[in-house]
Amino acid sequence: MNESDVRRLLQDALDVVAPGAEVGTVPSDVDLRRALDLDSLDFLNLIVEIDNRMGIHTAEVDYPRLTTVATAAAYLPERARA
Amino acid sequence: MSEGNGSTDFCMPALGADMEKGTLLEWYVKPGDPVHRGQVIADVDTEKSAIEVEVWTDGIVDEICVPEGAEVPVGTVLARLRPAVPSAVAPAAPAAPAKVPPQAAPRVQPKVQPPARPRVQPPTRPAVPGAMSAAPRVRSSPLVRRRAAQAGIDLAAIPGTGPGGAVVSADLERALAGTHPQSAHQQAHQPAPEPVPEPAAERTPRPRARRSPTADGMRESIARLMTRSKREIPHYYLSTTIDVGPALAWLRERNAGLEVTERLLPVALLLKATALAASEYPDMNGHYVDGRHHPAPTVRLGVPVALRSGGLVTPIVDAAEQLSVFDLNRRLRDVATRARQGALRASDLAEPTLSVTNLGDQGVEAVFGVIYPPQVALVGFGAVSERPWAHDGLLGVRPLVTATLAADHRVSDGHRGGLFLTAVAERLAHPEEL
Repeated sequence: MNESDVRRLLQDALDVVAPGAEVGTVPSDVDLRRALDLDSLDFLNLIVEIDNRMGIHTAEVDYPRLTTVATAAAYLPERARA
Repeated sequence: MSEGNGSTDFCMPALGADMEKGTLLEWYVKPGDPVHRGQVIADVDTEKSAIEVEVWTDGIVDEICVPEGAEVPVGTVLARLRPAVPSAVAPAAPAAPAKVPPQAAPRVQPKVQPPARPRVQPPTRPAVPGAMSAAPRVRSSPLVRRRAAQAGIDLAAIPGTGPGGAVVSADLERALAGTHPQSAHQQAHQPAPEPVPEPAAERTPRPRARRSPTADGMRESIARLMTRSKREIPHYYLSTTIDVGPALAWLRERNAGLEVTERLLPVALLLKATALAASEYPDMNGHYVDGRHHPAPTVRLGVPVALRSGGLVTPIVDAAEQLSVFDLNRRLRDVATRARQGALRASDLAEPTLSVTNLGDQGVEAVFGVIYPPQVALVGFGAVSERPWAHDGLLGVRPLVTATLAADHRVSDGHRGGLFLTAVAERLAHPEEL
């Protein structure tokens, strides 16, 4: 799972929880919540959607690891293997 | 709704204090169809958004008085309903046999919900007989359906990627971009989002292409209501800083053992604390009508939800002081999600008695609100952030939130407002009791 896979996953999930938010416009190290105007509810729904698609249960303490494309690209493959 | 000689009028509802007229977008029933309390029977377009409107009596549709596409004032009779004949004698009822196909009955879902809480989980929309005969109904929000209709696109031809194959806005956008020759032209007039924002710009501009056709109407509607508020209501403003360390620690502990979908959001605690305090201070909770304050028996919170397309809608959390924080959290997620999908129902917008605005996610420290008439107060919460805080003679770093109150001086004074805001803070200090 490389960064472009992660971007595709995030985009697919965002299409459901926040239609109109385009991950492609956000640099890897920029907070998605700020760049795409996601509030805490959108972000929670994003985590739920990633869970639905990947079966990755993200604990609350790990929420920060899904805030940018770069951190998600490190976190998701790690969890997908686990 | 009014009644006369046994029939009931189904009228254009007022979906918010500022609504004067609405457009009937779509009927889901036709004459002769039986309807049940809580059933969505029409979509209505307000200046703010498309709303699904429920009927609140059982009966049979007698007459559709307003055609799809017509704009009419609030209170206009949209349809007439007549009482349903008792089911035992239904097959023999001679009154209007042509209009009452007995086989229509199985389509209606019989009382699928406990009548005590119709607002929380309205029944799913029954299949529409008229639509069934042509093609299976395409799942999508009213907003998407309307935009597709405006663009002259058949929703059935668009592959849906939403829940259960629903056609979501993104699908429609893709379809517009791909198949509609005008779309490229239209988009050329709108500033397309930069592929990559300037490094200095923290915030990407909202993609303008998502701006809904109702955005201007919504702005007008907000302007009208807020102007009325500032003209009529002598506001006073108070502010206090609350240490939410105990509340957040309790929340983390509770969330650790919960599925993602059940996890509490901090805002649920803020709303519950506010609702409990408001039930103790009736001069903050109710409506100012005809020159005096009418305190409300329960706390129906209005929670403004910002829309991606611009503007906001204010769905309600009814009887918030009586809900557990978990139920409140669930209800909040439900209405906020549906508000953004353009899938709110009329009952989601019933007059709130107190509004709570939470701009915490935008990172601002405090929000001094404008009261929604005819309400008499508005509570605002800014971002929770770690700041220096003196406690027990020591300086430490604590998560703090600034709570503000805008209240109506015709109803209360700063002293009462101060007590109320302090009560909110005290509730948050004991999260286990929320």
